[in-house]
Amino acid sequence: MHLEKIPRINRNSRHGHKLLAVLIRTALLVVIWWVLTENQGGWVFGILSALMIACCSLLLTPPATHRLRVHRLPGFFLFFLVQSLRAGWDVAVRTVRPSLPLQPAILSVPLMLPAGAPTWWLMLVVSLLPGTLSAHLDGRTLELHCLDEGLDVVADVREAERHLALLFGQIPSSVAAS
Amino acid sequence: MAQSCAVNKKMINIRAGERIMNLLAAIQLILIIVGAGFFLVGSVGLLRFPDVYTRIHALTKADNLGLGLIVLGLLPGAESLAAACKMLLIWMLALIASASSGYLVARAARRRGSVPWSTQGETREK
Repeated sequence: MHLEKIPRINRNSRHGHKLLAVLIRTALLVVIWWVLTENQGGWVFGILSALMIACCSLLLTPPATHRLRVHRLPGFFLFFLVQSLRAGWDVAVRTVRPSLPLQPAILSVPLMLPAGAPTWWLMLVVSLLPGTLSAHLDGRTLELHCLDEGLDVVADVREAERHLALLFGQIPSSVAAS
Repeated sequence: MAQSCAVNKKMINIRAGERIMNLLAAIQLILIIVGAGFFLVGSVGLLRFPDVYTRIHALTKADNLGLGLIVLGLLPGAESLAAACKMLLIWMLALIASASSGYLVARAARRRGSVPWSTQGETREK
């Protein structure tokens, strides 16, 4: 994904992009340092290591072309919380019922989100939706294992896609329409 | 008369405060017990469910909810804002870790050719 984009961006803006990414990542890591140390100090060491880790992380995961829309995070979290409540309850009920009501199946769902970060997020979120588990990504098709064929799994996946498209500031017409 | 009335009001206020504290403690207790219950159910699912895929369902979803409820129950007792954030961070990392490791295990099982259990009485092949 980044490989396709890079030739089109000139060198200066690429460096600017990287600098911004390092700054954002350092800031996030400093927050994590504050959380881990519970505000007990050690700031020089903390900030220096945050900066170093941010530089290292750039080598492992270069800045993505998809940027998160931070103001859409709360809405996404709410959606995610409700879904994980449903998912936990659903699987718990199936577990404790003596009849063990399972009707597993493998489904293939063609994805509408762009490749890269949005797809990865979708696969993680799908695994926490009620009754679904990402099993394999084959190109643009996601293979899902679902606990019960009777559940409307595809609708749940489309809903998750819609939320992620909003989060990444992309509204592909096919996702928006569904 | 007026004085005793004021005293009574004060007593009622203190009692109301105590009652709210008790209520909060009770809610915390319920959240933690229910959370632990979901962990238990997740482990029961690991034993009862028939194949690797369904077991991943039980573990990831029930445990995530259980951990979330326990964290929620512990949050009001956190010593500082940073300590509260630490608990939320632990929950988030556990969510990401269980979702991604669940996917990796499922993918490995697919590649190995493990056929999902189905109600037609089919178990594993290959």
